[in-house]
Amino acid sequence: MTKPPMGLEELARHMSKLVAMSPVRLRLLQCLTEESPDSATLTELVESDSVIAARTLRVANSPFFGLAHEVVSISHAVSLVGQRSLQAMALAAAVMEQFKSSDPALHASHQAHWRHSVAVAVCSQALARKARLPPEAAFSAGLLSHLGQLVMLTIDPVRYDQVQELAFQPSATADVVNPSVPVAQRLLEAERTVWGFDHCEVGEQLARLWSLPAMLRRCMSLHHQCNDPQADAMVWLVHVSHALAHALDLLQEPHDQVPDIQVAAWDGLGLDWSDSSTLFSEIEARYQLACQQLMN
Amino acid sequence: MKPTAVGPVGFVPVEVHPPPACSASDPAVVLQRIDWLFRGTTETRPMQQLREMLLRYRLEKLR
Repeated sequence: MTKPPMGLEELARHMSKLVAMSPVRLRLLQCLTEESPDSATLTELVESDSVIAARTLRVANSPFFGLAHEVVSISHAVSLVGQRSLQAMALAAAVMEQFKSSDPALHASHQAHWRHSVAVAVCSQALARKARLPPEAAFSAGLLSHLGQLVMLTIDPVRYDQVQELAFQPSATADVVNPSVPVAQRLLEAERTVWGFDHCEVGEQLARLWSLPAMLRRCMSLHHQCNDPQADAMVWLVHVSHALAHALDLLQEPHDQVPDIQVAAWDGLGLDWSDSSTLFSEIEARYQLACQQLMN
Repeated sequence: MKPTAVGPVGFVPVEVHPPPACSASDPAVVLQRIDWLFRGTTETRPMQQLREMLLRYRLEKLR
């Protein structure tokens, strides 16, 4: 039986429980998303969280960075990989840690979400270099862009399944979102029908709850609305990266489908694609490494 | 609850068999997979450009 839409007030109640962090970890999260945090403060905060520190060091010592020397501490990692890279990796560790679940089915769904998000993150990082945007910030923006979906999936997996059925599998009795509508729009409309809101609105709520910087908030809320006046180059980048991740078949999902790229985003970025084959090859290699190192 | 894929990954009727992922060595299969991935996309310049780049990349890899 289909549940009535949830509404934003009920969402807020569920979210406040799901995404609540200790003050220390919240302070760490905010530091990790600052553009230029104080290095000593950053190091101290990461080191104070043993779980995040351990995951960050593991990534720093992995083939993802391919360093010649073993990284033995967070301050050592900052000197070898750079502060911005450390921020991006520690942020990934912190957010993944926040949504860990001991329920096997939920864990499997979370892993599927992270594979998708890591794919968008790796594409965002690679395209950022061509667009002359900060690549580590782009990585984080790509990684967090669809976090609203993870929140919805975690709060109510059954309702989340209803969205997928409504968007993609017509039946004789269900009201179906028009199948000729582009796939991303179909998903958003199905989310609004089932939940009363879409994952972009949830992403924006989450960004506000966690006091994330405006850049990340825009990418989480506007990555499907590239014509919005507040959409900027980083939003367009994440939008294009999302499509690229699917076009490259990184997820290897049998029924995968490429979402449309809005012309405003493509033209707004104005990227030079003359070396696209080299770019695609690098992305594929980086994606495999990133999944191995970031996801446990 | 069964695990579900996320992002715009669609469910399709069971009688439709998607082409294998893009690790195939047959150019015809590669083309089929790309057509499958790009199904339902609008015929805009960005989508045409992206599809052409992907196809070129995949066929280059087969050589």
